Amino acid sequence: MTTFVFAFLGILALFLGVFLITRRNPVAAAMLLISDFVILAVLYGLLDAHFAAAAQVIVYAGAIMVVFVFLIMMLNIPNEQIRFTRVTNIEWLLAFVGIVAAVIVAQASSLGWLQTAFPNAARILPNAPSENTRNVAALMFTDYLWSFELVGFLIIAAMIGAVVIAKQGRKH
Amino acid sequence: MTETNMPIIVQTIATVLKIFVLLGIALQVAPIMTWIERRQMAVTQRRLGPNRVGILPKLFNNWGFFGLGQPLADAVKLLFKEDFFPEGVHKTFYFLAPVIISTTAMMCTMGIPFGHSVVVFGQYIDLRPVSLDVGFLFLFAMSALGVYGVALAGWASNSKYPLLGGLRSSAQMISYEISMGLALIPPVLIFGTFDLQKIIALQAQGFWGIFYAPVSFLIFTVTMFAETNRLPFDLAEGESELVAGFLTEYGGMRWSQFFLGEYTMMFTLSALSTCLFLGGYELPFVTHEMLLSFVQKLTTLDVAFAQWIVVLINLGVLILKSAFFLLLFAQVRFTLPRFRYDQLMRLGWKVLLPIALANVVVTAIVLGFIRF
Repeated sequence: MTTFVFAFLGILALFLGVFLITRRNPVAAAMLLISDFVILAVLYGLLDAHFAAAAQVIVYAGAIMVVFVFLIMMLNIPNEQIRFTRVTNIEWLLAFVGIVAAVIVAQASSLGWLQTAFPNAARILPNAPSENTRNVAALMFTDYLWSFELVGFLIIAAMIGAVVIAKQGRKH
Repeated sequence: MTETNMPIIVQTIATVLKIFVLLGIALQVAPIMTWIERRQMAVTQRRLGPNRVGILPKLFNNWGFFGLGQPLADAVKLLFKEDFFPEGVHKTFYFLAPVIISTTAMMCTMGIPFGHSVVVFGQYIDLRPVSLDVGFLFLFAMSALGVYGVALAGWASNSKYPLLGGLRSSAQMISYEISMGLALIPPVLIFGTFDLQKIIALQAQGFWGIFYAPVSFLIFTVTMFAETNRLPFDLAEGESELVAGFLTEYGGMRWSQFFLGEYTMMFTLSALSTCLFLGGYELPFVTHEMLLSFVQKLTTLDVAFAQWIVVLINLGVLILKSAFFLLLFAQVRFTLPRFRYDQLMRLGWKVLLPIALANVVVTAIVLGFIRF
């Protein structure tokens, strides 16, 4: 049952992704991206990664995409004024490379190669003794503390950069 | 208290029943609250308000049950209004916007626990439809999606005022969601879990969350108004500036779907606040076990039956405590004028956000000193 739902939602997510990049209407594309995020969150939930699912919806679908939609609506460019370009050969090549990479990763994970690469994964698996959120937090603040702090530092740097750029724009 | 080892069909039936109970409550909030708001507004402004629409007008000498028939009349009127698409709207999104609002609001409600676990045929059943590891983060995630309904309604209407309303609302919701999320961190730090049922059980043993995290309670209450677009934060509608904001081009049942979503969301956030700060469905200073044994002594019933009486008491307590917030929503609406847009942004970013951040840091430091 779960496998069937998972496969169905996975295929749906793929189709929504294809729809998303072929839409000409930016709002439609944004809404498709949001539904794709929500479906991905459900997939995470089916994999017992409940915290990742909640974070996916709250952060990506609920916060980042709101800003996107806000901007698209504020600019409100008529469809005729958007210039569309044809897909170049390099882009086709990149798409092909992406698909091959996805297949390789999927194959590697099904063969169990990634378990040696991420030995800590067992600690946040469904059979873990405590709540999923607690396990993720425990990993984040012990084994991955430095990378976690580094990411926080990068985000603060980006935030300050945005403020500086905004201030400069006001002077001119 | 897990629901594993149960046949999938039993699980499904239990979940459907739980959804019915919660939706049964949440969907009654809109009609009853419209009536209460009219009456309360009339009392506040020294007017009469609806007092003629009775259910049994002839029999009781036209005594109209204080106009309690008004919601029924409203519903009939809205149902029989013509369903139309105004010219120039983006039909798909014009149709989807009210659906998104009401659906996300109802999904949100599904995260609210309405009673302690019950035992049926030797199986524990948690009295809440959604039991994820992340607890009320699910509720928070669903409420975050609700903003698209308003934004889409504004954009799809293809008209100036709705677009302004939609833009305002998305900016407002982002601004206040941050403070709301930060306000919820201290209770989580104090109780050490996202699980609302565990939080309620801990409150029944100790004190209500409002005594542990009073600042969080205040911030959450303020952001609650902003998240549901209620006065004094209803800039998305703002009748005096934007005609009716994002609702301008809507009518009939689609219009009332927005209101259904708004009132359902009001109830959900009230219930969430109740669960986090006011002890949830438990009576004050009474744990579940005490209540259960008291009911058993009083009625001389088996545990299997007594637990359902306790569930009813829990439901009543949850509704009463949420009603406090709902009445607060109504009273604030008639008391405070609407904010100006810059005031709204200043309050969100320069007042609430720093207080919420300081609240998190101070709570963490104090807890660190107490526990280590």
